Amino acid sequence: MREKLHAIWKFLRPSKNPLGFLGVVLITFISLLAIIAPYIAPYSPYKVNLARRLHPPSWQHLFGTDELGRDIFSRVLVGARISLQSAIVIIGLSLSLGTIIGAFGALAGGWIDDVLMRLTDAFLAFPYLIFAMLVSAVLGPSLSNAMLAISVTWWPWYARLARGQILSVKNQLYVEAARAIGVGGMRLFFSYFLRNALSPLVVQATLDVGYAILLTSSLSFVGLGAQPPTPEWGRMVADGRQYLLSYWWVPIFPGLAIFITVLGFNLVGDAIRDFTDPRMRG
Amino acid sequence: MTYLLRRLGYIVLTLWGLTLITFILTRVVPGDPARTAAGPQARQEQIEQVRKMYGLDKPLWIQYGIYMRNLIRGDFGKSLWSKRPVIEDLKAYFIPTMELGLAAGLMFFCLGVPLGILSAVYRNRLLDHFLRFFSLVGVSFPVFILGLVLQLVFYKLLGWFPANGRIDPFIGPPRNITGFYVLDSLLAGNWRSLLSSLHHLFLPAVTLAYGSLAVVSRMTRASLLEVLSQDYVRTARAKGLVERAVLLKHALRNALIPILTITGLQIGSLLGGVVLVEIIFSWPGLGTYAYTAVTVLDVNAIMAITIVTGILYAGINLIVDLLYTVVDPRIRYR
Repeated sequence: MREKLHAIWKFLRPSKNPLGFLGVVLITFISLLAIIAPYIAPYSPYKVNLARRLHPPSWQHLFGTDELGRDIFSRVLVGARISLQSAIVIIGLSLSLGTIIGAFGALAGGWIDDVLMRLTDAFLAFPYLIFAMLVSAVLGPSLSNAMLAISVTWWPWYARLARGQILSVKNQLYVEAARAIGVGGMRLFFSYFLRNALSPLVVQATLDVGYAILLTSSLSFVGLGAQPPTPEWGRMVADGRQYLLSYWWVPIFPGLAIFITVLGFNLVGDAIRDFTDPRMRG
Repeated sequence: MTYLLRRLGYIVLTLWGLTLITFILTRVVPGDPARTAAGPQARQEQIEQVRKMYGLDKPLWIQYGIYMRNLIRGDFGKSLWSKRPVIEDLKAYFIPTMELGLAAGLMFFCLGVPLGILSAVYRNRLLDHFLRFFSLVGVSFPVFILGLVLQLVFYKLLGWFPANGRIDPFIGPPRNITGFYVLDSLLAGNWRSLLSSLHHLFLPAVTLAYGSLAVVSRMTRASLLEVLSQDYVRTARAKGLVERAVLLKHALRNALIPILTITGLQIGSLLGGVVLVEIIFSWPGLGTYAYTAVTVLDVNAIMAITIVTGILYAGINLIVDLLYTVVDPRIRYR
């Protein structure tokens, strides 16, 4: 594991892979901001000040103020926390659900595997944004329901990956050896199957954080995710959209925040994909 | 032929799974579907009436039977918001979305592949680095923000393109033949409406296409680079063929399969992105319809849209799979 990390680090060196390194810097920076946001935000993200409505960016308000006079910079900072948190919850939920279903299918085999895989296919058979919209509209608009809806549409990707991994581990000699010395049940599953199948899953999950943020903000943008006054980036863009042509900073700054965060994750993801798949190496 | 039949059977099976999922979602998950269908302000007796009308007082499996029977007839129920049958709404909004989607699809495929080729030919040179960064930005730029930025720059600052609608209201739509404004204008020989509709189509299509363009050009680059290192390419070069012939005849044809696969997947993501783009550019299509449906929680309409996009997506993937056999005659489906 340490060697692997070392290899990845060597691969991500700024001289070798400037874009991947830029991604690491961006992610680190944004995660730090998300952690310390409440302490460094110059204003409360909720504080309404109608006397200061729609002020352009200035030293006092770096990103300007919105239609209720709230400081956009503070809202974007606190929004980083919300976006990263929801992305982690989404990935966690869909990864566990997908792994359980995929692993169960692979280990059970036979018709159970068939049924589970057909079910996965049915979930993958339509565009996930539309499906996530349907699910979160049925559950009712709120950030936690949007997170649930995205997880419900997302797990099949992990289920397929997990199934493939477990299938390749299933017939390895060391599993047979473990069985022969009487390892069984949960222990066999966790220490032999899961442990050896997990690393590609975790890598994939990390790469998906950017997409999770994108999808959450898209749902919020159509009004299904976070509700006002939550300073969620997608919601801020949606609410600020009507001011675009006269007060561009209201929707554009939260929008740029989404872009930069997703870009950071994609840059790193891209570098790691190049690393694991030598064919993609330029 | 048998392959086609089996594939169609498989699609039907998948769509059936889809109806099951949506049925469970809309009937079992919310506390009282009759209340949902009747709307938030409905009185108790109205709710009871709706319950009777939709057969919601019957057992679940009978309800599913009724639901399926209606679906097969193309009856998705009534839209809560427009008060019309959902199928009528879908018909009205389908063509504008197709027009936008086709424009974006053409754009990303016809630009993405050449850009990918350029990137591969000039690999690790300045142009390649620039194109790679350009495509990574494309993958990371949320469509709804790209749309806003483009509106700000090309409408507000430069004034080059309109920000809303399908055509200049003073020119008005061309005579309705197919419903596609661009095509209808061409058929009618109406140059003014042709120009205006292309002018209105440009920004939303670019917004929708950018992300997919990025993905397709990256895939083209990767796939082409892999093929270019093969022996038969070296042989072709050794024979003294011009580089262009090697590239386009020998390499590109063999690199096409993954490019096609990713194109099919990208059309799927266009179907999702179109919702966001239509909202931003006030494009009167399925996306705007979906958005309105979502804001008033019109479950019948949302469900219909999900099923229609599911059918479209399945159809596109089938076409892509069939195209494989055209591109690579070694592939035969049985």
